Amino acid sequence: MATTLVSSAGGMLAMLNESHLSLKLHALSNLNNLVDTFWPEISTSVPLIESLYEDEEFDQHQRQLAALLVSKVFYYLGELNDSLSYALGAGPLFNVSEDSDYVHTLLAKAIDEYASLKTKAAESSESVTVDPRLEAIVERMLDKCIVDGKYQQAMGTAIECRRLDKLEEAITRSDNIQGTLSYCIYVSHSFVNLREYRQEVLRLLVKVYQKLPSPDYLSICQCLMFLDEPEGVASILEKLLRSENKDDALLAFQIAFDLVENEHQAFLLNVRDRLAPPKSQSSTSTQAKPNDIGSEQNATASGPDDVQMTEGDSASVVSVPEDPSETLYAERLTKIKGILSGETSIQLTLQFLYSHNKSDLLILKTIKQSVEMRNSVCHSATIYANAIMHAGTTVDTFLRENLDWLSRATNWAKFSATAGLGVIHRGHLQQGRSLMAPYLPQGGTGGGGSPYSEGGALYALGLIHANHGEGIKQFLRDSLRSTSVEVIQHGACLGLGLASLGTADEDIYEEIKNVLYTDSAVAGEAAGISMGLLMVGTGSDKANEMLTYAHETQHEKIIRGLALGIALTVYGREEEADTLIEQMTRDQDPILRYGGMYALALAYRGTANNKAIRQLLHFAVSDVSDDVRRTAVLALGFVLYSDPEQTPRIVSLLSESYNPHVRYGAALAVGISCAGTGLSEAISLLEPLTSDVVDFVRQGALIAMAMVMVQISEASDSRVGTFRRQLEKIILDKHEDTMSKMGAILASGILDAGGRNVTIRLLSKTKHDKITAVVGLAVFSQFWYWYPLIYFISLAFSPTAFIGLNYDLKSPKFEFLSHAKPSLFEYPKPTTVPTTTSAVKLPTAVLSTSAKAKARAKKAEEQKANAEISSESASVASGTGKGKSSSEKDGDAMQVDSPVDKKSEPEPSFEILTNPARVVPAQEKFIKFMQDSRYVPVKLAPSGFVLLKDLRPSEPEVLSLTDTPSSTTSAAGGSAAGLQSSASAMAVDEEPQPPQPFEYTS
Amino acid sequence: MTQDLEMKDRSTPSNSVSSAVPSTLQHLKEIASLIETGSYSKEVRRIARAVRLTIALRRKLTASVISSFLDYVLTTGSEAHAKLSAYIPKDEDHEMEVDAATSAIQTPAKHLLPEIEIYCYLLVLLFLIDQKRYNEAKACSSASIVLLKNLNRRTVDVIASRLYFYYSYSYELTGDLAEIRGNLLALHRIATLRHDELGQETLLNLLLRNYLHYNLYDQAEKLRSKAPRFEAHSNQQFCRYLFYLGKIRTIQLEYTDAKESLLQAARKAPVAARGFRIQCNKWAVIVRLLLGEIPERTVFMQRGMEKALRPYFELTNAVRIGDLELFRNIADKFATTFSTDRTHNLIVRLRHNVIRTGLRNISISYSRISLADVAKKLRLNSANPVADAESIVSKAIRDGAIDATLDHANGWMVSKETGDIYSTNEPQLAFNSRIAFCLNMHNEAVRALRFPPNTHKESAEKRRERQQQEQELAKHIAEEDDDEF
Repeated sequence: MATTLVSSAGGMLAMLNESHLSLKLHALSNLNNLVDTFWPEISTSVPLIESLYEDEEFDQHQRQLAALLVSKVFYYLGELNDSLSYALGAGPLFNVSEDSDYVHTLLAKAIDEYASLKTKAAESSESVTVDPRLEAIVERMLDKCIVDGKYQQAMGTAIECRRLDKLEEAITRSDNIQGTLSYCIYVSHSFVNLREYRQEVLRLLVKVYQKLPSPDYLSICQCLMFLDEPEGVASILEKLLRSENKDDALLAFQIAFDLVENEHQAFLLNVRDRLAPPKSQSSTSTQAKPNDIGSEQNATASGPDDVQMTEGDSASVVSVPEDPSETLYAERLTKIKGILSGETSIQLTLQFLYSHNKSDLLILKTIKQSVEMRNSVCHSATIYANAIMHAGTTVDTFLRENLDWLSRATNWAKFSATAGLGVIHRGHLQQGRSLMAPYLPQGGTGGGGSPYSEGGALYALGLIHANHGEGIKQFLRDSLRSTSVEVIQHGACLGLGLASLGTADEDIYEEIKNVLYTDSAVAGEAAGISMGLLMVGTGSDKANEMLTYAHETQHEKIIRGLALGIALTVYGREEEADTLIEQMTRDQDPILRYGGMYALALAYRGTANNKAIRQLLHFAVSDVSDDVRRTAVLALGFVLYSDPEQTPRIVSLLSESYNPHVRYGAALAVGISCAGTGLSEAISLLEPLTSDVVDFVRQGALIAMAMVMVQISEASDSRVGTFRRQLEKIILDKHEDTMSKMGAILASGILDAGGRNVTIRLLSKTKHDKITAVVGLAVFSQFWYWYPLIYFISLAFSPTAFIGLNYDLKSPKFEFLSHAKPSLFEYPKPTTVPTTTSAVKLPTAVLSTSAKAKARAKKAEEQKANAEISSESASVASGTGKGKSSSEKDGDAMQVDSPVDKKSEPEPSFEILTNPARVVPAQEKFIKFMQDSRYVPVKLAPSGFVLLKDLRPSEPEVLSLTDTPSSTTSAAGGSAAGLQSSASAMAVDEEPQPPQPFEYTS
Repeated sequence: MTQDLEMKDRSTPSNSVSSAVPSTLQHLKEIASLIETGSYSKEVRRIARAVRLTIALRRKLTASVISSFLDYVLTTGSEAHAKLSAYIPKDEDHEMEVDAATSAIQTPAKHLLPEIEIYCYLLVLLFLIDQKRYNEAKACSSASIVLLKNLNRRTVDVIASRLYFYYSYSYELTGDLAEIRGNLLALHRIATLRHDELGQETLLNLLLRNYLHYNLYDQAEKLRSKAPRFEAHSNQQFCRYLFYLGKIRTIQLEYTDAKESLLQAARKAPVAARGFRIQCNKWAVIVRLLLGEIPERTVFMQRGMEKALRPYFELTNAVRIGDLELFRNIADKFATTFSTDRTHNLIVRLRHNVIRTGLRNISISYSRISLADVAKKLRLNSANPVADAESIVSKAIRDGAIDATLDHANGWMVSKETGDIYSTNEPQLAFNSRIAFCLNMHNEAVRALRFPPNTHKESAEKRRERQQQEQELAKHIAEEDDDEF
């Protein structure tokens, strides 16, 4: 059968028409050999061969041969579907293990086909019959993969084909089960789009994990959290806590911290409540333990005494059990409950932000001086900027220094000025109430407090306790109930929503609903948002109730508030939310359609779901309402934040739209999804928009740019410096529009947010969505309509810190390495004094004060530096190193003494950081732990809370970070000390007493 | 038939003016770096340019240059290096200084790109074909094809398509085309699976050529009609495709389509590809004659083609006059040319057209003419010329070639009045087709243009300018405001 001798298959084809069977068979078998060369010729006779395949007279083998031949011809013709169906008909003649392109292609096709069939079957829930032959082929392929040790391929295919049994087999039979499992988790998060199916996969993974001899509890708990199964987590934690081994306890703490990072309040509370109390406790404590929340609430409800009391209360619950192992357990239980309630991490974060605060007050001063007195928008923008800059640092120096100036804020401006304190003191759980006390509504006394500042104070309390509001809920409820002033109701609703974020508390819901039904525009708007906050991510029926009311009411404000609230309820529900989204996006009312955009954004947050993106893009170009279009584009930012590289590409065309609203939306979309990444494409896209012809586009672009560039140093991207100068120019420019000026002021606040120790992060390190952060940004983007909502951005701030903790949850002295040039990640240089003099146009009176302030600042700085040096030497002598890394301190000192010296030194290629340290996201990949260190991290995480294992427990431990914003007075530490702000924390003790809490004079 | 193969390889006559002193080797190194950047940045465009530059260097390739280039890019001990150097003769040692210079700067290539390796094969293959060492060329090309089959990278496609071409060419030169048909089919299949469209194009053409070489027109047509279609990538390959398509259609008597393809092929072919255009023109002329058209004289007077097209010119002349005698003479006279051109069987078909043209001339000249005269004018020297003439005329009338009636009783042919062609839609249609062609050409040219990215966006400088203007305007307005007070 030398093929070269034949120049045509015509003869064989003719033979097919013969009547004799054996002739046909001969022709078929020959053609089968020749098909590679003569398929163009044979293809004309395909119908004939097909009829042979269907011919009943033929025996099985011959029919299969005909099928194989037809399959090959179809393959050459590129008709893979037909080819596959005939190949299946060929039965055993289709040799799966043959190494030819034909077989490879058809196998790939078979797997695709099978996967799509299975998916269809799962989705439409009607039984789609899968060809058993197809199934057999796919199974054979999977088995072969597993036998050949290609586990990743097998797992990917199994997931794709919805064959969980095969997936399990692949995992259990692999040689590196831990590795494959973590790969599988990664795959299921990034490639499985359907929420339900993903849960199935994860459930399977947990099952496999639990069978392992040494399970990876960190991963299991992450899975369980995604599955929302607090019982499992609680039992794991309990097991670890009861263990004799100290390392297990450390691991439990680490798990708890990781869970807290995901900010799923309701889940955490559930876990906490399910932890079993120590067995042999005295009766009082057993009673107190499980009712932890209850007792705390009771405590707060019982009187206006400090919240700290409850903290002390729960801590003191640990009584004296007799059994030593139970004592141990009880002790650990207290710790872990502290962690799970979020208090520990919030407190540590607060300490960190306070002690590392590096905010630059000169920037604010410049803004303040350049802003016109009469311009209330810029005035309050400055207040917002101050709050954002100091978010969570408890440093309110600027406000205290400028009381006069501050008092110009009236009405709603006063509301937000007061609420700003909440941002500054965010997380100050113990002192929050007493801090805000002067502004809070005084029950009964009917004091002269303005309703605006009272409302603002309630909002501030909400911000302080955002997502951890157990202690304050009751108070806010009381305040809400006891007032009928709509401004106070507004503040109370927002505060209550924030404090009880996602808890779905029915009682609170009813109370807020009562406010809503008063049909007051101001209070109703806040009530709508608040209901959403309360029900966030529950996907409850309440959404329909809200939708009905939105149709009934006449007030646009209420409709808008409700629209956003409804959107919040479907947070993360993906397909489950489709009906509601459909209902909203088809509504007549543009405001509800606008809510529908938010619903799309939040339901599909961070999934990069194609369907959602398509829908949003459709609305972005086709809706009649500018608001809806703007929001649709903006919503893209939420859908895409898990994949920030995509966003600039997708919205790049929209950013050149003729419609300024669409351009604005594009800017914010990039800002949201690329927040904190400093992505080059994002910056390139935003750059032209910052000088757009329309003022509000400029505003949006400036804010978005600040969000993208937060914590990016000038050394890593020179455009950061350019942007800072641009902001300064806009702020100083007399002719600039108010809108863009406001944008610039806010942008400079965001750029230096949280004393420069926070970034905007929507994903936790384990790639879960940070619900608070996403919700915060979603509500923040509403500031278009309502400026006080700007403060919601503080929810999205997450501290960029490495905080190492020992068994006692204290941070020991521990050093690690950042393997990169320090200048890449350092704080921006403090603005120098000459920048203020550049504002020559200002009236002389202002100039003189600024000069004075300058002088004062200088003097204070020198003093402080000296104090610092002396205190440092003292501390070094006594052997207790304080918080900051020594190299950093040196740098500071040198700068004061002789700045020239520093420049001459060549920059080292690495930096030694001391726990707790600022580690910006870009820096994380350079972090290395030292080999010979005393402490070993339980989990090799470059940032966040990390439990440290002590290898030399016998030695005395040296703790760092001893200074805390312990009391109201010291925290408010005003005066000039904070001005230059470098390590203001160091000098706290030497400071004079600050002025008393202030009050508005108006 | 062989000239057309080389249509673009001859495109750059070697300019001996620029002395080879700035060193061919230097150029080769530049090309290699071009390929490297192209492969890293996944830009096929760069690699295509590298291949073009190589063709320009082709005349300057010498054994020593190639061997030192191989030393430069390939690791000396490697398998590829050993294989390829075996093809290069080592006897020329008059360019020692080049060798020495290169070995000094030779850097050990840590990681060899497959693109570079394939490129080396192409270079060596070019050299071997130019040196007429066809058997070695066959071995070399076969080795490269084996390598290519296992290489699935889109950046290799451009070089690969050239290699396919020379692979087929080297086998054609030794007359073993039939041997590689199966191989080419397999390669074509692989290219289809890998979505390598350039490769598909090239291989389809090679396959068509392969079939046509053995007069397997039927199989060629079947393959052509079954093979996947797509937008053409390479102009050269598209020209070739059109040419083969034209040939197939001519044989299958679809003259109108054939004419279109052949003319398009001739028009699209680059000016430098003279041989190819001559072939196209020869076939186009015959097809037009078969269609009953008479090609313009300018077709035969194109620069550089007069001599080659001479036989066809005379043939056309005979058909134009409708002189059967002359036609027969010419066919005999140039019989050898026609058979090497493989157009002989078509010329046989032409005889019929000659008669018909003659008849048309007669019908235009005479309003009424006897069949005997017709036979005489057509020089029908058969046994019964009048009966022959009668049948020929009746067939021509039925085919619509002439507008006349036969008067059988009197033995006359009566012509009808010929209308004025300018009163019909004919000129309009012709004009329309030309405009359509021009517009199409324009559109294609626009589509082929490459724009630098983001030119439509406002540049930073322009923005600054605009802002400055706005500021000035604002200042101006402010000043005016001040003046009012």
